[in-house]
This record gives sequence, structure tokens and C-alpha cells, in this order.
Amino acid sequence: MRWTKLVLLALVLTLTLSSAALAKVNITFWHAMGAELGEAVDYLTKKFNEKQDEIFVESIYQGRYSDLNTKLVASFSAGTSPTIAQVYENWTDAYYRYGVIAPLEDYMDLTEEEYNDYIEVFRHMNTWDGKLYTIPFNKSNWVLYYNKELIPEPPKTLDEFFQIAKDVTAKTNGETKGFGIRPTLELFHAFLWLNGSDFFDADLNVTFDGPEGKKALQQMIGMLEDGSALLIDGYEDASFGDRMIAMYIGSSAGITYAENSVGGKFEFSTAPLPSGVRPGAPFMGTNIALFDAATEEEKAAAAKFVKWLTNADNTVYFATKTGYLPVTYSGLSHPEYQAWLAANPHKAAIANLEAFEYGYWQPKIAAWEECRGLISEMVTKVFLGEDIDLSLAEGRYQIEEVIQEMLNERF
Amino acid sequence: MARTGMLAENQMWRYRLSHSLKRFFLYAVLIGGALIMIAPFAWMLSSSLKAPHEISLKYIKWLPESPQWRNYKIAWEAAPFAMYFKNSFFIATVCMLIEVTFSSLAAYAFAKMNFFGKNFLFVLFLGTMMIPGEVMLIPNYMTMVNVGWIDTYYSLIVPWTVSVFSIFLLRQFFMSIPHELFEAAILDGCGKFRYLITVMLPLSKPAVATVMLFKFIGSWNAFLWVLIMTNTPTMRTIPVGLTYFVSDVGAQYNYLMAASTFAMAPILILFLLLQKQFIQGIARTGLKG
Amino acid sequence: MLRIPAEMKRKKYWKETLEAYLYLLPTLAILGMFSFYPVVKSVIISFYDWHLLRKEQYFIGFENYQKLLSDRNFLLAISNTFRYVIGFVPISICLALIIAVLLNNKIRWRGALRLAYFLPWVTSSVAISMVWRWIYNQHYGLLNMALANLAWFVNKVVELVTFGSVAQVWQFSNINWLMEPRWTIINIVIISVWKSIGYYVVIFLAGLQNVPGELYEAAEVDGANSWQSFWKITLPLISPTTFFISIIAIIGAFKMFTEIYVLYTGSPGPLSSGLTIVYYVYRNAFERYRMGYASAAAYILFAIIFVFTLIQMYASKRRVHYDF
Repeated sequence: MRWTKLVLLALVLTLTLSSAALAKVNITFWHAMGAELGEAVDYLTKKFNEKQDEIFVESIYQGRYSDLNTKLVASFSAGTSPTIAQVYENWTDAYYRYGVIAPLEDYMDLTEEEYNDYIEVFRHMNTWDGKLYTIPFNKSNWVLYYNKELIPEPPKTLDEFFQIAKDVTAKTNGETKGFGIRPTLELFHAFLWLNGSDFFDADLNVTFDGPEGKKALQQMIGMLEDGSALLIDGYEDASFGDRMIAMYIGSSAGITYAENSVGGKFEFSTAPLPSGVRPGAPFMGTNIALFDAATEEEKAAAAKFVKWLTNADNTVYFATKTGYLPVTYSGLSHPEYQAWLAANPHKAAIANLEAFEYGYWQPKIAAWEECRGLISEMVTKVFLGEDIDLSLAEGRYQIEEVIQEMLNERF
Repeated sequence: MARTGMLAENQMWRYRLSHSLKRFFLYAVLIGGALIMIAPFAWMLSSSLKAPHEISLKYIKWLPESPQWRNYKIAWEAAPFAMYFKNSFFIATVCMLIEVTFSSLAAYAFAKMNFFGKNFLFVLFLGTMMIPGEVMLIPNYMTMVNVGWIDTYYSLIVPWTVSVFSIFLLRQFFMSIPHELFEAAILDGCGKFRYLITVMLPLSKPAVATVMLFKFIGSWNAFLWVLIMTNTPTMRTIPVGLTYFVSDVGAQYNYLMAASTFAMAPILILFLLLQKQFIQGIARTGLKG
Repeated sequence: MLRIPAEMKRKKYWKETLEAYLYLLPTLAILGMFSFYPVVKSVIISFYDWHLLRKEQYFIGFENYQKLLSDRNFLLAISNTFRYVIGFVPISICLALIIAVLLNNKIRWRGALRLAYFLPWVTSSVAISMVWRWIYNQHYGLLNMALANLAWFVNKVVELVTFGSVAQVWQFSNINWLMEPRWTIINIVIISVWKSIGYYVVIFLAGLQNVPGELYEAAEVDGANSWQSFWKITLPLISPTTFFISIIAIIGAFKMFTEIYVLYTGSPGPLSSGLTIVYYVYRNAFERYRMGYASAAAYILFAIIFVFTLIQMYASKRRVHYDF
């Protein structure tokens, strides 16, 4: 009997030891990529899991960004946050201020070369406290979509842009308007930037109500008033495909939708935004954040995964499958990516290297969600006919209130 | 004699005319209303059969050039719908069966029994309907985490086996069945429970059918709760799958409409099965004796 | 008549109480855990400065409530919500009642018609909101097109009738439904009524089954017309159902949120014209992480609904007849 017990004990010991040796680190990645975007994520995740034994990554779709946000928020209260997740910059600011995330850079062992390989504008968007707290993942560029039939050469400056819009409208007797305007914050930001200003300055003082902001709004309203632009609600690609507008400004990630809406009816292409007082390229999209609640082992494993995910080959794969941009310079200059761009000339503008020099982004502050709403309201008011100066002044007052509240929050 | 005959005939003719006119208006209103009700859905259906570039907003085409039935196949494969369907069916059915049981018992107590705290409790129950679910989401999520029910069927079924709405509805119905029936049965020695099963429920078939239908639909279409209570796809239901076709930069209309259509199909079938119960014309002759 | 001693009555009462609670046991257990408990917890949270990302929370007593009642946005939310309730409830209940009564007749295609009215209730919000956004589109939406055609028709008729002297009496230009704040609540009422009619019709139909057909026949023999039958027979006999629907319709209407969020793609309408109380709660909880503040807003809403429900219950005491 004692002998059987010994054998049993030896068996159990061997099993536990060997399973310990085989013990993988499991990490979870929450994302909001559905349909084809999700397929690309799944493919990369599978590839990573197959090529090594120490880490197992589970990438799970959690709905749209608003749903992902709800899930993340709930997870903090219950202590069930994932290892990594897609996050917007303003979410990151809130997470950073309350210490819910850990700086990914610290766990990634980046050489100086690797650090500099991440595209500069993305580095800025991901830096808090001098470190890369988050790593860029699916970034997009806003470009000018234009109908090549009606507009053989895209406008390079704002003046050319206004002129072309008028010309197209005249040429088609108003059937096709030159430009499609959605009174969004993003469009206002574009015009604001091109006129030389931004929402805040480096010290978080409000600057959008200055003369540049006024000019931006006047230009947008002006286009509506002289008939060279059409007011759009909903996605612009549908109106573009219907030939109701000849140009619109939209995300590079939306190019497949444009292709679907156009459906080969006419040739279209993309171009960098026309430059005004200065050139500008708005960048958007999300990054990957690492949550502090994970164990040190999990954090290290996640960092490995993220580093792999953003290496040249993979970032190019993701970019070619989704329309998002490669996040590193080596990705941008990768022969495969260059070949893909060459094969898809209408997508060329999204990776226009020059654009990256003039990149800008929306303020990375926790209160940005609230500010977005207020500024959108301000733009809507102007579009509904309210006095521009009054609306700007009101907007300034409200935003300052919100910023003050954010700075006064207790920790 | 002939004159009265003619008079009667005249009246009959007028009566028939007004009757026909009434029927005409009846059908006109009902059918007109029905067309308005289904117009958006008809558009959905037609969009589901269009190729991407046909989803034009400007040129209203009710019929696609050639119906793209493959949209349904593509939509089905875009997300793990087979799994979602299985989950939805299981969860909705179990919820429906358990809930109608619990609610009938509770409604019976409120309708037929006199007990301490009755009115207070009823108002308390009603009160739970007055609080937006958004504030209860996180506390409930934390409860589920603590009992380990995340990513299990338990979190998706158990909380929904109770519905104050159903209790309230059944109570109203139970209360409109003559109390004399109840008293007579009790005097005859029939137990309260037996009365519920053999008399009350059969007489309330329309209400019971309604409760079952609404519960099934509520469970079938539940989105936020399911999303929050599951971290992995294995327990998820159909509404989560529908979000696959919507993103911040655009939406795949045709596949979304196709998916929404096949997501709705089982409910419509259930409705058709149960709807015979809604129109029954019970003759309440129980009082004859 | 037997005179039952008071003691026996008391014993019977408590025996019945025990029995009742046994019937209520499953319900109480589950409601307790998933409704009462979270409610208590969130009421407590409403007295705190409770931030969802922060480890420590600070007790601040009634400060949330005070801040809310002086918050311009919250007051706007209350006003928007009331306007929606006043628009939605009477219209949906009346329409549903009419349709249900009409559907209760012996007509052909009854099943198909009932299905048609019920269809809106079961379609997914995500999908159908896109259709509605198209319907409300300023330039080529169905609604504007229909109105334009209607205006043309009316103009033609008037022109004909007045022999050409009055032309263009109705000048119609495309309405920007989704961008002008004054239409927001109206848009939402239309969508909600469209969606909910079928739901209420089903319930009314169930209630109408309790009305014996013989009563109508007897009334007709006595010379009553349809209108009188409706008022004197139908309405009183379905009063328990009507009462039920009025309560749940008002409670549901006060909690309006999803349709707005979905129609206006994550925004509370132009200039927050669609900001309802529950939207305000959602925004503060999940976008600004201020759970305490959001909870307080939810309980102010609760108080409002509760008061309205009590008023309804007292008002209905004389008008609702059970048990014929």
C-alpha cells in the first residue's frame, strides 16, 4: 500500500512540475474591431499564439467603442479589467490621472532605434509624463476624398479648394455640390488648424475663439451660403457615391465604405488636406493601453505581444487589410506596403509622408469628451444661423468651466 | 303590407350601406396604418438584398437590380451567429418558462390574497421599474463577478426570471376574473394552488401568452446586459453580433439589414404561434350556477 | 350569519400572509438580489463624490442633489423629458386602443395585420435607426418627399377649387429634421409611437378578450351605436388593462434614452435638445465617470416618476373596475 502511495505521489509531483513548466501566461486584449477589422486582429493574434509557447493571447471583440468604454468602466469597479485594450487618448488621460494604467514603454525594452521608429506624430499622441504610456495601434489619417471625373487635379491650397468647389457646382448646375459639410468638431478642427490655430495652447488656455476660429467658421458657413457645399447628415460616402457632392473630408479608415458606395460608378481618389496658412493632417484612431491591475508577468507578456504586433511586417499586414496606417517608419517604407500603395493609387494620400510632418490631433485631456459635446454644439449653433462671435464667446465660457472642473477633481 | 315591406327593405338597404361603409373604413384605417408600420421594415428588407453601391439615399429604389441573396450568407458568416442563435434560443426559452411561473405565483398572491405588507410590497415592486437600469448595471456586474457568474448562463438568465411588468399584468387579469368563482371553488374544497392551475391560468391565456411573448422578445433583444456580463463570445447573443456591421467611420447597410432580418425571424414565428391566444373570445359563463 | 371571532380572523390573516409570502418567495429572492440590493447601493453612492476610476470615494451628503438642481443641463434634461412624456403617452395609448378595438373585429387577414403592427417592436434599434435617419434626411428623406408631394397635391386641389386664383397656398421647403433642435423631441415621439403601438395593441387585445361578445349584441339590440358601445361597454370593462398600460407607458416614457442615443449617433441631439434625464445619467456615469452624481440624478427621476404614479393610482381608484 505504501508503495502505491509513493507511486501516486511521484505521479502527482511530475504532473504538477511539468504543468508548471508548461504554464503559459494568459493575457486578454479587448478591442472594438468588428467585421474585417476584427478578422485582421484575430489573424495576428492566432499567428502570435502559434509561433511561441510562453504566452497565450485572447483577443475579444467588445462591441463598438462606446460599448468597449462601458465595459472598461465597469471592469475597474469590479477588478476585472483586461491586460490590454484599445483606448482613445482622452480615456488614457483619465486612466493616467487615476493611475489605472501602467506605462507600456517600461515593459517593452525599446532600443533608441525602435523608439524612434514609431512615427513621431503618434509618439506625441501616446506620451504622458515623458513616456510612451500607450502604443499606437490603429491610427488613421483624415484625407480629402474627391471625384476624379469632376476634379482631375485635387486642390493644394485652401483657396484652390474653395475655387474648385464653386467651379464644380457651377459646372454641374448645382446637381453636384463641390463639398459635403457635416457640422462636426473634426471639420471645424481642420479649418481651425489650417487657419493657424488650435483648441487650446500648451497651457490649456482656450484659443479657438480667436480670429482664426472665427475665420474657420465663416469659411464653412460661406461655402454653404454660396452654394458650393451641401449640408450632410449621416455618412458622407453615400452622398459622394450618389454624386451629390464631389469632395468630402473623411477618415482613411473609411475608404472601403467609399469604395462600396461608389461601386465603380466613377473614379475617385484621395489627397492630403489642402494647406491654408499652414498645412495640416489630422490623425485619429486608438492606441493600446496596459492596465495596472495585471500581474508583472502578464504586463511583460503583453508588452512582448504589443511589440510584435507593431513590428514592420505586422503593422503593414494590419494596414493593408484595414485601411489604418502603419505605425512605424519602417512599416511605411516597407516594400510590401509601398507595393500595396502603388497598386491602390487612390489610397496613396493616406500615407503621404509629408502629411506626417504636419500631423495634429485632438486634445488629449480627460475632459475632452465633455468639451467635444460643447464645441459641437457651438458649431451647430453657428450653422443654425446664430451669431458667430456670440457662439464663440459662449463656447469659450463653457469650455473654461469644464477645464476648471477637470483640474479641480479630487484624487 | 307592400308599403311596410318596402320600408323595411329601405331600412335594410341603409343598414347594409352603413355597415359596408363601416367595414370599408375599418379596413382602410387598419391597412393604411399597417402599411405605415411596415414601411421602414420594407426598406430594411429591400436594402438587405442590394449590392453595396445600390444603397443609394438619393434615388429611392424599392427593388434591387438583382437580389443579392448571398448578402444573408455573408452576414451570417461575419460573426459567430450560429453560436449566438443557440445562446439566444436557450436563454430566451428558459427565461420565458421560468419567469411566467414565478410571475403567475406572485400575481396570484397580489390578486387573491390578503396579507401583511401587500400594498407596500406592490408599490415597492412598481418602484423597481422606475429606476433606470444604468445605475444598477455596475452594482449588478460586481455582484456577478463576486459569485463567479460572469461568462455563464446564470448571469444571463437568473436575474431575468422575475419581471414586475409581468406580475403587474397578470395581477390585473387575475383581478378581473369574478371573485365569486374563487369563493365557490374554495368552499367546494379546492385548494388555492389548484384553483390557480385549473381555473385562473386557463382563463387568463391571453395574458399569459402576452407575458411569455414579451419575455422571450426582451431576452432575445437584450444587448447591454449581455455585453457587460460576458467577457468572451461563447455566451453571447444575437444583438452583439449585429454591432459587427457598424463602426465609427461607416456601416455595411446591406449586411446589417440582412442580419437584422434573420435575427427577427424566430420572434415572428413565435408571435404567429402565440397570437391565436390573443383573440379567444372567452365566454364567461362560469357564473351560471 | 356566522359571527367569526376576531381571533380566528387574525389567525386566518397571518396564515394567509405566510401562504402569500411563499408564493412570492422566488420573486422576492431574485428581486432582492438584483433590484433591491443595487438600488440600496446606488442610493448610498449618490451621497458620495464617487469616481469610477478612483480607489477612494468621498462622502458629501446632499451635495450631488444640490448641484443637480442648479445644473442648467439637468434642468434642460427634465424639461426635454417632460415634453417627450406629454407627447408620447396620450398619442400612443389612444392610437393603440383604437387599433386594438378595430383589430378585435372579425376581419380577414387578422393575423397578418396584427403581425404588421407588432413588427416595429421587434426590429433591432441599431438597424432601424439607420432607416429612420434616411427617412428624416433633409434632402432626400422619405418624410420630406411625402410632405412635398402632399403639399403639391393640396396646392393643386385648392387651385382647382378656387379656379386658379389661389396658387401655392402651402409653400413647402425641405425641413432639416435632424439638425434643428425644435424637431428633436417630435422626431423621437414619432419613432417611439411607431415602435410601441404594437406592444400596447397586444396588451389591449388581451384585455379586450375579457369583454363578452354577448354584451355588444345585447347593446345593439337595444339600439346602441358603436360609439356608445365603446364608451359604456368597452372602456369600463378594459379599465384594468388601460390602467396598467397608462402606468407602464408613463414609467417607460420617463426613462427614454436609447432611441435618442441611436438616432443621433451618440449625441443628445442638436444643442442637447434630446438630452433626457436617463441620457444625462448615462453620460455622467460612463463618459465622465461620476457615478455619485449620476446616481443622484437617477433618484431625482425616480422621485418624479413615483409622484406621477401615485397620482395616477389615486385618480384611477374610482375609474378602474375589476371583477364583473
